[in-house]
Amino acid sequence: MGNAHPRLFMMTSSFDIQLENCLPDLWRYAWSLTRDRDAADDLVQDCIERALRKRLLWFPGRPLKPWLTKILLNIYRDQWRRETRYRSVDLDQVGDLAAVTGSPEERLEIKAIWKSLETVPQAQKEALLAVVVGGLSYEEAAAALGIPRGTLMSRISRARAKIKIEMDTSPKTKIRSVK
Amino acid sequence: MTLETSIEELIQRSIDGELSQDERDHLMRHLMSHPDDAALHDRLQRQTALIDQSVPVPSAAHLLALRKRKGAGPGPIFRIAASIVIFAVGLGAGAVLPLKPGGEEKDLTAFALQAKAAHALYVSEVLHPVEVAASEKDHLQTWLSNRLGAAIIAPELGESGYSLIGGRLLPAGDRASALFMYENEKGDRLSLLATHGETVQSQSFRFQQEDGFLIVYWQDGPWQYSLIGDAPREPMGAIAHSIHGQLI
Repeated sequence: MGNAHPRLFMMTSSFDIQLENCLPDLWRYAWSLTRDRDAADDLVQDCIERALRKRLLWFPGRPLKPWLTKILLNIYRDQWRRETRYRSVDLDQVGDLAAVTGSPEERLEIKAIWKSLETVPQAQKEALLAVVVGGLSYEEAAAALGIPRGTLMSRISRARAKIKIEMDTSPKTKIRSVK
Repeated sequence: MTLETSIEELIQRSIDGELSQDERDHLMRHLMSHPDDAALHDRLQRQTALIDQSVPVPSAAHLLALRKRKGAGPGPIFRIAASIVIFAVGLGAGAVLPLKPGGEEKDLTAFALQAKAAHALYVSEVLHPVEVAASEKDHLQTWLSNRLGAAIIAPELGESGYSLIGGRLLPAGDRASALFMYENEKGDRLSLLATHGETVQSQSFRFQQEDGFLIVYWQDGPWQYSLIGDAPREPMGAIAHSIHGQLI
C-alpha cells in the first residue's frame, strides 16, 4: 500500500456522515415525487432503514447519495405500483409549496408548473426532479436511475418541454401575458 | 467538440450547472446574438428555479426525528451502565455463562466463534499476523472504519502490558469485521474483533473457553466485539472492560 492511500481514505467521509448530509435532499426529492409530507417522511424512513441493512453493499469511498436515491426510488416505485393510481393530490394542498412568499402571480405559476408535471410521464419526471430537487449531478442521477447519461438528459429535456407547453396553453398564463 | 453540441443541450446543461468554462463562454456569446435562444434559456431557468424553491425544506430536527424513529431503545448511557452492572455481578458470582445460541444472541455467539477461528489462524503467524502494522495506525483505523461503514478505533491496552501490532479486515458471515492484534513483552497475543451487527441491542460480557482460547464477547448497540487470547480470565476480563470503556 503506497502513501497515497491513507489520504484518499481520509477524504471520503464515513457512511453515517454522508447519510446525514444526504437527508435534506432525499426528503425534498421524496416530497417532490409525492407532494405529501407524510409520504416523504415514510419514504425517507424506509430508505434509511433499508440503507442501514444493506450498508455493507455500499463501497466505501464512493458517494453515497446516488445509492440512497436509488433505494428511495425503488421503495417509491413499489408503492406507486401498488396504491397511488387513485391517490390524486389536491393541487390546493400545494399551499404547502414553500415559496408562498412570492407574488400571487408567482404562486399561480408554481401551481401551474406542478399541475403540468402531473401530466409528464413518470420516467421523465423522476429524471427532472432528481437533478432539480434531489441535488444530483447528471452523473449521479444517471447512476441512481440506472440509465445512461444521454438518456437522462433527453428525459429531462422532454420533461421541461412538456411543462413549457402546458404553461403556454394554460389560461392563467395567457391572461398574464396580456398584462 | 463544443461546436458540435447543440445549443438546446448547452442551454439545458447551463441550467443544471453542467457546463465547462469553455462551453459557458461559447453559450453566452451565442445567446447575446440570438434573443430567441436567450428567452428560452431564461424561461427554462425560471421554471427550474420555481420548482426548486417551491419544495419545502425539512428542518434538521425533523430529519433527526426520522432517523431516531427506527431502532429506538434505551439511550447509550443506560445501556453502558446496565452492561457494567451485569458485568460486575457476573464477576462476583464467578459464573462462566455457557454459549447458548437462541434468538438475537445467535448472531453474537456466531461472531464470537468466527473471531476465535480468526485469532487461532493468525496468532501463530510470525511474518504476517496483520495486514496493516501499528506504525500506520491512522491509516488502519480510517481504512477499517470505511470498510465497516462506521467509525472504529484501535483501543490502547497500555496498562495491561499489551500493545497494538496492527490489524486486518475479515469477513464475518456476510459482513465485514475488523481485527486488531496486540502483543505483550512475552510474545503473548490477543485479538479484538469488531463488527457492525444487524441487530441493535446490548449484551454484557460473556466468557467462553474454546479450544484452549478464552473468548470474551459482548455487544454495545449495533457493535459486536470479541476479545480472544490464551490469557486467563484475569486479566482478560479487565482488558475487555477497559476496551469497552474506550469504544463507547
